Amino acid sequence: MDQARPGRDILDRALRTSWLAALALAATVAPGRPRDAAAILAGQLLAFLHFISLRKIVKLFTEGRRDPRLALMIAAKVTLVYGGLAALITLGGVRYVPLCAGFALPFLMLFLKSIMLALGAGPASLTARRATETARSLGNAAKPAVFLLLLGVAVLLAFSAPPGVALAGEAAHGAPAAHDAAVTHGAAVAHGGAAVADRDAAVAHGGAAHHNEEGAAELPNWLVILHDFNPGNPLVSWLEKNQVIVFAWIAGLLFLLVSWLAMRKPKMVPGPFQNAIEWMVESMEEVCGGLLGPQIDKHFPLIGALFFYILTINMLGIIPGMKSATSSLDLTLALALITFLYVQFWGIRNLGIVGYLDHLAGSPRDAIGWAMLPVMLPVHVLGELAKPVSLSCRLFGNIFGEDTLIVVFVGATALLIKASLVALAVPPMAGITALFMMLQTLTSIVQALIFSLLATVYLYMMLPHEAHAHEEAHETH
Amino acid sequence: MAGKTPKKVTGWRQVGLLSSIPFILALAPIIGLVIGQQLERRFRTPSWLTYVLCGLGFVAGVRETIKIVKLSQQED
Repeated sequence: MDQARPGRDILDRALRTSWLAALALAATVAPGRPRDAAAILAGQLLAFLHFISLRKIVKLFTEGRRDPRLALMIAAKVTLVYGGLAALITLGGVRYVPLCAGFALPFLMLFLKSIMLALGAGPASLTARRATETARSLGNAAKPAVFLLLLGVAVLLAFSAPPGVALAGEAAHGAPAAHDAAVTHGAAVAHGGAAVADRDAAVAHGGAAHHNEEGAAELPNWLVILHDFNPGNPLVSWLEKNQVIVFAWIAGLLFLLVSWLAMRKPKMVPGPFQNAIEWMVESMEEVCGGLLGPQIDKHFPLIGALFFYILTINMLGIIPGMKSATSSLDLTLALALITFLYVQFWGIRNLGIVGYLDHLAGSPRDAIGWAMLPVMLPVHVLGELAKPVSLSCRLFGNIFGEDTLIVVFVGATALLIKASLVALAVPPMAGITALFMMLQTLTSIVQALIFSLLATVYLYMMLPHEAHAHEEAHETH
Repeated sequence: MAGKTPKKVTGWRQVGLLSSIPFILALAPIIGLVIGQQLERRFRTPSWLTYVLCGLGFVAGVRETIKIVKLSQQED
């Protein structure tokens, strides 16, 4: 890779790969739906033009001199990309889904290439420090194949989007929709009379928003869709009602599966997968070990499990059709309670029951200390209780906020499509939604890290150690 | 423990700790209030206890905040 301009190199590679993916997709779809195949290629062409002209514009803009070509390029970009989209939809009668799928391909490839830069086998890799050459070459061959496979599955799912999709905006108003018969699927989403709408609104995430029991809008997951198909099935109804538990279990099983796959045959010279897992575990242990010191070995199983479990749950929400169980306060509170009980358990175990009560009472050693006991005891207890509640509220708020943000933008895109403002609305809206999804990936990691780090800190505050003892003694005096 | 500098590790911890201050400050009085209301409802305790617990919650929040700030300044 060209190290002097890695960003530009990634863009070139992403555009090349997206062309290959678009051609493969178009070839797959062409026998049955030739118009859709043409729409995919047209979308890809427009996105390609978008990136090429954007690169030129950025280059001219950053050179700093007043170049008349800048205005020309901006005009050309607007005319070609947005005018092209408008012309295709209004004059050509192209379907939105394949067109948007084609348009989104370079964005997706760019995102995947960026992730591969960090996790792949290249020189900038964070995980290939010890991978053998054989493993690298195997990994390089396998990655495009896996990406193409995933892409194929995603597009097939998008093309066969089931009924039961709803516009976010309409779901937010709770009004039943009456739409064009050609594009409307009649099954109303069971929650709160939320509306069913345009099938083509299912571009990103398979589509839609609905009201859950708490009244908050969220994109429908596969359990909601399954329930729309089988409203009378008691098992499906149970699963749909307890979707937080179901998705928490799915994340747990996924976490176990990944751990088992990575470590079933550990090698001294690890392959890329084992290497990636080892790197993540070591990094996490390093971050927490800085505070706990040698005691980290005793507590890392819980702290590490918390980190990877929360990370898996958070990341699950990014996959279309899945849900982040951490967007429910029930689960985050349960995780925080586990942490709280674990910390209190180790507090009692290390300090003894008398020492623990002494700690809660603020370690009174003189008459003033004992006199302040009725005040200090509730203050300590309230301080301890505030920790798990703050942990759970922070995780819940962040993940729920992200989900809501994406729903709002998907809903806005769908409404603008309905208002026939596709050409002007979809490219920026799809871009913003993609941007928020990338942001969601970052926030998922940061929130999982912060949750486990704070669990470490709370544990550290409870465990006896020199610095802490010194600090407490200092406070007493 | 090779690879990451202690500064970077401490930085992450500072981010986590300092960003938890608003939650602790806001939630501690609320927890006091809720406990006070529950005590009042179940055991018919005097109503001023709710306000006292709410105030103590505020004190607890401030106290935890001071501890958090101290801890965030501590090097590994």
